[in-house]
Amino acid sequence: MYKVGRIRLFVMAAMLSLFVGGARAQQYAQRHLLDGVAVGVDLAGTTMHILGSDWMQMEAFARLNLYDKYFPIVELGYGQADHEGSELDNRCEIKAPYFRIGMDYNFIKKHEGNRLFGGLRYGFSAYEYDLDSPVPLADPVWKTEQPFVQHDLSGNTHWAEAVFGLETRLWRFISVGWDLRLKLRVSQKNSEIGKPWYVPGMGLNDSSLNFGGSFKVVFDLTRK
Amino acid sequence: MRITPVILLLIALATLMSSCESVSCPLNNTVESVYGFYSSTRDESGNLLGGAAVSIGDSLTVSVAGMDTILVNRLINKSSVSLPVSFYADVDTLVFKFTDAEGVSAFDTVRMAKNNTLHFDDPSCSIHMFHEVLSVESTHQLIDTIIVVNPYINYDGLENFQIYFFTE
Repeated sequence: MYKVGRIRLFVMAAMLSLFVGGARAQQYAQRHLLDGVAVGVDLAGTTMHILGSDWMQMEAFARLNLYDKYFPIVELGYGQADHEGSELDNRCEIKAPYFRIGMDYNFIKKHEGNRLFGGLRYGFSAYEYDLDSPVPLADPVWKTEQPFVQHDLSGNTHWAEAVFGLETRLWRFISVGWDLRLKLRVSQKNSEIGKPWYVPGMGLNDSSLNFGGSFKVVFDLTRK
Repeated sequence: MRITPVILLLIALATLMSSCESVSCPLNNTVESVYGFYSSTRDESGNLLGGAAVSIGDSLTVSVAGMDTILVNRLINKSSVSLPVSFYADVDTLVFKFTDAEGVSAFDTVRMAKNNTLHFDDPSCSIHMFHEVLSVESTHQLIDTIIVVNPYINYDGLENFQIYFFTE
């Protein structure tokens, strides 16, 4: 086995964002049970595809703000991938929706529009996928061969996520945020022929544990 | 509104999320059936009681019935043999030729019925065929009996068949 690594600028940019990203400070004398409703979109999945990744995700979410401390959230998305192997030209294609449900907790006690949060998610996706090879599978001993074209294989995956991230208000009701996610595959059922290379919402399917992240634009529906 | 940190974050996130990709092809990716050799011990009623593992003293040559393909040539002093399995046939018929030191040969034919299942690990890995043995039978020149101990033929390399030879 081998891994392809790149230089990570993420931590440096995250620290820069926390201290440089602007937000007009607002003080709230008293928090309310339902302190806001927000919706938003995740831009990371689309950005990845633009930068050359073989997979793409489009995701939107809705969340409640309880006391500016607890944030129940539902995330809905659609992911797709069309990947050819780097060593061989075998191909995996998959398209499917996914959803996650969870809760974030804001660790910052001051209500200035900046949030440092941690959270948990439960995710699920049911999908169909295709596995193909451009060359027939040849039996070298018995000298027979058949094409390898496997379409509409079905499967599903359940996973859990631990989330850690930041959010800052840019302007009035618009905030931006990012998070890092540790994803643990809880259960997976696939065709006995093989598993998909990518699972919508969870990411690459080469390990039961992997990392991901998101960059969100948040619209607070209850803020003027 | 500060744009620079937003742009930096986007770039950093993209770098992070695209960096964690690995190719995990299994190091041991040979799919072969494994035959172990044993001497047979029977009770007075003729029931097989089992037997000890033995190394065959004769040379063993295994070929595919009806083809001029030799799978193993003059194997000697081994207690097991690993043989390839056809990808697509429902039944494999193999000819086991045992030749003693004087050059006298005896032949037994082994027929194995099986299911074949494609196996796909990763787009960067070779595609293989796994098998599930449904039944096995043989002629009885030297082979007393052959039994299936593990019907699944895959990467594991575990013993699939036990060939018990006559001990007379």
